[in-house]
Amino acid sequence: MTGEQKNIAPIIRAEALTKNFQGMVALNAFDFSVNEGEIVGLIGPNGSGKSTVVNLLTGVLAPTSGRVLIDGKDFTGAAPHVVARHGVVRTFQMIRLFPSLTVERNIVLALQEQSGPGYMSSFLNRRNAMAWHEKAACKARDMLALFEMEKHAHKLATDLSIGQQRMVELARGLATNPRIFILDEPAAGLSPINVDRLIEMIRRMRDEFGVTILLVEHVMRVVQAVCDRVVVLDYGQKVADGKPDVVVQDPKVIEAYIGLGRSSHA
Amino acid sequence: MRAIFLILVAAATLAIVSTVFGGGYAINIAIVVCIYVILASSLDIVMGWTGLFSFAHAAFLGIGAYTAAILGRDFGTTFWLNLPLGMIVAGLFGFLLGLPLLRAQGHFLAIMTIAFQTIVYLVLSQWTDFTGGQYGIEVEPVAGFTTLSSYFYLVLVIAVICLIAIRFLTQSRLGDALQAIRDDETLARTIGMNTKAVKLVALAISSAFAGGAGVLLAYHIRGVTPDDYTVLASASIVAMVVLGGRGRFWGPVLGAVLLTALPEMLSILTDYKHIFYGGVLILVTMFAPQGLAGKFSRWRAR
Repeated sequence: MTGEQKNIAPIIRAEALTKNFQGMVALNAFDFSVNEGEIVGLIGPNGSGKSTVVNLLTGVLAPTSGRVLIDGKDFTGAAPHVVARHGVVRTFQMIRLFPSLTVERNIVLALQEQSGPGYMSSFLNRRNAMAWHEKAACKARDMLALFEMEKHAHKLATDLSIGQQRMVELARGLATNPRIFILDEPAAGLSPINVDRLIEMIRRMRDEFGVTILLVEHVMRVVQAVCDRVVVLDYGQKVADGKPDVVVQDPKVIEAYIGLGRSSHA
Repeated sequence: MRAIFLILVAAATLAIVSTVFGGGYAINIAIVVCIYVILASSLDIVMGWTGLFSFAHAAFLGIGAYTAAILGRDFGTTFWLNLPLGMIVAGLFGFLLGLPLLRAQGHFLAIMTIAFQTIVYLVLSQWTDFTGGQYGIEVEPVAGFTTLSSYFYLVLVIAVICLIAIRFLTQSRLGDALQAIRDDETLARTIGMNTKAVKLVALAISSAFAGGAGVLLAYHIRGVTPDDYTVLASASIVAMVVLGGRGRFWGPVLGAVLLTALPEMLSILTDYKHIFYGGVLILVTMFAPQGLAGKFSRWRAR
């Protein structure tokens, strides 16, 4: 309970979060929080429960027991779109963009669902809706420019490379001014050059835009380069929580990764 | 804007061809074509744009038709009141069906629509006191549009209005939202979309258009009988959308025109219409899963 002693209220907080899948415990009494402006890494071997944590925090799954608090309010079991509208925004391990929409429309749609006028009010007040839409398109282009993707704005998302699609995903999330941006293995499938670019962009999102970030990652290079704090999961339990260089020395962490009689991990 | 221009050109062509070159028979076909264009285009809102397979579209057609017939019989209301009311009642039923329906997905959803379609048919045919049972209800022609050609122009104008409305709808931000749900519903939810509400709205709008088409059909054949609103009729509308091409504005229009006009022109086909539809459906899914409109746009892209 080191971070929580301070007076800053955590943006997101899990209290004794537990998830069973048909008797198998995927996550067991997980306590954890992310404070404003932090970049927290969540690491652990395959099947340790990282994705379950993300799915519980974003409302994709409902916990078996325990609570999820966002800005101190209880969001346990809330629908994903409700959680998203409170600024908990995520990316996916397998890149997810709408293939039928252009890159720009992918971002505009996210802005619209987060903060745009409702369908009814935009139908009734067309001028207002169009002005809003114009602003959203501007914002989308600014974001794309930030990620050096502006020339792809009118392409279909599926016509881009994996690295470019990843940048669009980040641009989509950042555009909505998230309270907390959860990145689910953003380095997966990226070339070393793109990983460097990813590291730079994660830093800039926090330093220039003040975005709080929860980074779920396998690639230790990324974790060590950007994270202020690292939480380690093994078999659905938290085994460590601290500064990256301290955590990697922790014998429990080494055991989780190298393992005793368990297959090791890249 | 180009699409609206093309709609008007197509409507004018249909008007000229059927009145100048054909007699009453051709006009009859043209009216049915217009009604089925509305049906196929509106079904495509849920089937093509949102990705929900529905075999209940003829049920909403029937609900619209019977709303008009029953209101006319019991309250003597005119066409101009019955048309919006038929749309509203059908839209309401679409919304109500959506509440349990959207808990299911994929094939289960399709099966539930067949069940709903069957229930509606049974109610129409068995609740004799209210619906007239197998004899149905007679409908007086629309005052001022009693001749066949004048009624044709009325239907044509309404069909054009419906098409323009559907065009606006699918090009609007709601259209983007529908495509997003079809592409990846989980993602749509995680970017903050209340996908269930959006799907309900889509189903209600689509059903309302089908109800409107039902009112037009009731006044055209001057009566309603339950056998016009069976699951076979629903399957025909599905065949039109699939043949023309799902999720493309011109797809269902093309499919409706072809599948309505062809069996009438090749009179041999008329008796075997549903076999013909079935065959078309199988061939299209095998050789042109994106439909004719999909094939065209592929050729153009080359």
